[in-house]
Amino acid sequence: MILPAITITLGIATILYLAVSNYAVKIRNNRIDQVSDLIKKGAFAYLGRQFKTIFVFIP
Amino acid sequence: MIMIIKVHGKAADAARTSSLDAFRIAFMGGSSMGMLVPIAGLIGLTLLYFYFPDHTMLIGFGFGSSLTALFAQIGGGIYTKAADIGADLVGKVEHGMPEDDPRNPGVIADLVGDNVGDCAGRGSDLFQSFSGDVITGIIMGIAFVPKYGPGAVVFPLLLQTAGVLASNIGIMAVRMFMSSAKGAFSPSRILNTGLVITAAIAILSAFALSVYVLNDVSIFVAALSGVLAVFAAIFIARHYTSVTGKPVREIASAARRGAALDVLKGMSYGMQSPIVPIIMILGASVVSYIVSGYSLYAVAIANIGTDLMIGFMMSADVFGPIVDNADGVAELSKQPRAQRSLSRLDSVGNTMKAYTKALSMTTGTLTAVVVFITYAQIAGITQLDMLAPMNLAAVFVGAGTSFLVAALLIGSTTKTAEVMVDEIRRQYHTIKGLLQGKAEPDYARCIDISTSNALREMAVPGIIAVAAPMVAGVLFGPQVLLSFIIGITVSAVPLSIYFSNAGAAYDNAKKYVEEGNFGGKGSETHAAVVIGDTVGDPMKDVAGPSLVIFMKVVGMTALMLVPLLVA
Repeated sequence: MILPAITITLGIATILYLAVSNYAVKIRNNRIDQVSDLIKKGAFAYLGRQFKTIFVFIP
Repeated sequence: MIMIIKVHGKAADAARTSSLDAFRIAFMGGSSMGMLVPIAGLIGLTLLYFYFPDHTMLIGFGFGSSLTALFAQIGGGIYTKAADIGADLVGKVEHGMPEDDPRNPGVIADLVGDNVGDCAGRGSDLFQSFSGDVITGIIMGIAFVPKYGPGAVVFPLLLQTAGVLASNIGIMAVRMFMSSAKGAFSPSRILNTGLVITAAIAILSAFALSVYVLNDVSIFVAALSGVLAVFAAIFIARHYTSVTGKPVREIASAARRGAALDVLKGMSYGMQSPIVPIIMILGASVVSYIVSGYSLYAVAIANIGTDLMIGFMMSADVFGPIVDNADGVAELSKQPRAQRSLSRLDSVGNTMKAYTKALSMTTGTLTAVVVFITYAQIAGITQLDMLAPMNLAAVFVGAGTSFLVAALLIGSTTKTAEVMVDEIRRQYHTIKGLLQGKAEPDYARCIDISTSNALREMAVPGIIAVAAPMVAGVLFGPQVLLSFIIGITVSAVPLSIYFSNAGAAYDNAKKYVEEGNFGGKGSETHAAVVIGDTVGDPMKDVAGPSLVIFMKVVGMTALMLVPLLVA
């Protein structure tokens, strides 16, 4: 139990460190931000519908 | 997805001023997802392991993760390839536009596809491999308690944990190399060094655990053979798919005489490519079996050996689509300086994607073998009579089923791509000024086409994966079901390697011509290699990876059925 617990804790710490460091970076160029937003909306539209489809289908 | 969805924009923005900053942002974004895959698996498996004394209940976790991965891979694959084919055929071939041109209505759907296919799809694939391998190892370990003691059951979980720890250290090492890099730096050298560090720590940990927990060095040899099988598969995949390799250059050369010869040459090399990896991958299982004194447990451990670098490989793999997307964002937002920085990172990202596909193939093949060995073990089948007509027929029907699923997947991608091509053509005809760049395309309509079709088309292969083994097992018994699984595995493994390598070779033959060889962009050879790449797209990104998951879902369904079949 000790080895998995240490690894999980370290892993979560690493993920948080990497995610927070990247979250702090801001996009300074407006055009890049707009294009990036379009991709984000498209990806989330797909993921939301996929999530619903899978969780209706699997049960 | 939540973690990486804005990273490409940040990487594109950073690339305007510093290539190193773009590299750092893209890799850190990739690592946050790359580490989440094994950590999520580890949390789920550790909790289930310690709170449910009956470890066979873990099979449900494996089945759920495999089925979800099948949906994610098929849906993501159809989405991304239909958008890619539509955007390429109309934008590039018919109107001579460059990649990611803002006038192309399919371009945003194509970029979204990189996220849902390459990131979410592959992430869920490696998640189910990671989980499935530990589960089969634990179940196999129950039978080996008399030989090794209770350590045999927990060892697969501990070994996989050591691999996650090694990946964590490898990622931190890359982060350190990035911090110390100044001016000119080599992204591929930094990532390759990180991979070697990860492999070295994983191997050392496997040795320590084998000696400390099981007191058997042959189990370490099994884990080592799994790691070496991954490197061998990477080497072979590189030979067949790298721009510098003979096969890709010959495919490009054949394209000088037309698209048909380009496609035929690619088929020929693609069909050649499975034999050596199969010998290497299954060689690892045979070596483990012999060295351990004919122990099936060692085969399960060799399978876990293929997973030991998953965290690092997944991080490097996600880095690929992030820089690819960043490059697209830079093109769409007209940032030429960022594009120059990102194109170098993009080629490194493509290499890393090729590495991960080889890893996925290796671990998928061994997992499928171990799943049916585990099935035979818990169903109490010690011998299978291949001369019994029912068993023989089941092998052939299983082999045919893999082809049926591959046909459905390629057919679905083609059907969606047809709708996409029609829609992009419609927009060029109806939106005035679009071709001249004076009007905005309707990106949302293309996104909607990819989304609805991908979700609709993923259902049938999923139903086949679950229903076929149920029908075979319930109607004809456990022996016929085992024969059916063998048939599926024996055909799906070479077929998926063929699809993946041929598709990647077509893609790189196109890149080779785009580098200026055989007439370069705009030449007839270029038109031929673009057609070859279009043929290869559903092969390498839909059928190939989905078949690997398909055979594991079939195996996991069979494992779930055992209590019903032997009752």
